[in-house]
Amino acid sequence: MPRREILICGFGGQGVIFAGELLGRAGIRAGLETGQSASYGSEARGSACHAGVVLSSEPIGYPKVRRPDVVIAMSQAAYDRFASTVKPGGRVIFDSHLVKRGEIDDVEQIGVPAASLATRLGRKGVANVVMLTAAMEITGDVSMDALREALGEQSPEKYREMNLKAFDEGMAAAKAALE
Amino acid sequence: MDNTEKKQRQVVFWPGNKVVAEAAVAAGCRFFAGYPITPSSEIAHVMSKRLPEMGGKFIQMEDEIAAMGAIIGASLTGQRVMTATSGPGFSLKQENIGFASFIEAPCVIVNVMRGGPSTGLPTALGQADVMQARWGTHGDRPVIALTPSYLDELYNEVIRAFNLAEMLRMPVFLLIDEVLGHLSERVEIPDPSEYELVERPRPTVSPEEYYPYDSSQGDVPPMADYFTGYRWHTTGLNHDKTGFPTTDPVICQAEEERMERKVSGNLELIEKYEEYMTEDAEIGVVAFGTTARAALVAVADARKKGIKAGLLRPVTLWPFPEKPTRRLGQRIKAMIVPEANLGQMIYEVERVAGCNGPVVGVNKIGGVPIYPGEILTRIEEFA
Repeated sequence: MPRREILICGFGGQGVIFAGELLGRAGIRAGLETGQSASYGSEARGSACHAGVVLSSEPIGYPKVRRPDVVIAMSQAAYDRFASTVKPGGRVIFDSHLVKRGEIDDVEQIGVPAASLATRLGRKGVANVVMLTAAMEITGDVSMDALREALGEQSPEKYREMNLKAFDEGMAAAKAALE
Repeated sequence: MDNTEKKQRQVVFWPGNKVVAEAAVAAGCRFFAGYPITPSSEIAHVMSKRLPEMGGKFIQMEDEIAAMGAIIGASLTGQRVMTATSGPGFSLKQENIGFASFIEAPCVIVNVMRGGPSTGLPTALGQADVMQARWGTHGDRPVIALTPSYLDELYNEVIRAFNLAEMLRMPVFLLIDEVLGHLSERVEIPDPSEYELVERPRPTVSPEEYYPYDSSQGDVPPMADYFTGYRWHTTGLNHDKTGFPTTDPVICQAEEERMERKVSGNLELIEKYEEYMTEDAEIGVVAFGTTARAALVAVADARKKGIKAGLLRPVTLWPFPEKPTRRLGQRIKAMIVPEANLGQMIYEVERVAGCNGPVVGVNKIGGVPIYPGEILTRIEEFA
């Protein structure tokens, strides 16, 4: 697999960094070289934040995301800032419950109502898992088995069951979005 | 390495700062004193949990100066010790770093470099403490600074930092940057059977016969642990073999030269660098830390375009790898030196390369890493 760059963005408190770590671990489980880095603002909750993940079957030279193949946007501010950085021919996957999309040439845009699906599950905080799962099901960048295993491993005991429900919800949401 | 050994290796997905802490524990570090500072704080965080588990001690001190003092004290009792900080804290530690150098107390100091002078850019990378590591404290004293680029390498270099500190009785710096500290990637943890933990030399004579700076057996005097019956004196004043002050110019000169020889006489032990496609290179690139990762991509891209570029990557930045730099410098048309500062390592390259062509920097500050393309553009200019 050639180098793929995935940028997950939103605001502090949405679990953006958690999602980045999760994708990184899934990459390792899928046997890929993986580099994950996160941006840290000077304040945390509510401020813009993003996590970049590089996946490749080759050793990773430059470890940061430069021109993402995929942008996963979980807030309007993050969408406005990062959606246009995606490579031509790339994909923007956004939370259609929170983001009003714009027009970007030569980019496929797919909405997933992750925030509302998470609220329906009873826990707004799992929107990150819904979003990442749906995005990976759509792009095929990492095996879904690896992602699910990584989620089980990374989830704290008390949230594991809920996170796995969110995973299933994300899989279904991806199918719905592609129809 | 054969496959059977590889199978024993644990594969983890850790950020660089956790790698530093876990490798320090594996290297036998049982005392850490620090004052949290971005982007190094996770090192203290992990140590605060791991050291008590291992029967060690973690102390959060009132500031970086005190933290440096605390690890010197613990080192004197025979412990393998570490502190971690970033630029502002590294500045504060300098006086005590000089003291540790002069009393010859083994210790490891991690500096996760951020951007800018003063408080600068706490959450972004910089590589601007190159010269501070070499000359930050006053007076002449030997310096070792290690600058790994990858997390696998980081783990091993932390272990090497402890071993060098102990073997040579001196502070050793680990100079990494924010990108490496916060980057998570696949790390294979070497099995403890794959590396050696080297102890500091300890006295073989009785307490009555012991002199703390007795160099009759070599340039690294045996060091007795405090509170074991060996009573000895430490001072930041110039001292003789008894550890007490002296102003005798002959002794002062001989002792400082001996200290310097601990590094200059052990280069084969200390120096480490990696060369990539340098054999037939016409354009040389010298880069360290995470900038070297961008440089590696740039060199590979240049080769694809038919440009004979090659990379020299110092893993040990101090002492500066003079021989490989000169070897490369003497046969190339131009030398490119990318670094996340306004030009520091380039002074060393200019000093030793003996290059007929120009030596030019790629300098980027402001917290954004240098892109491979920015280095490639420079390579193309001189190809």
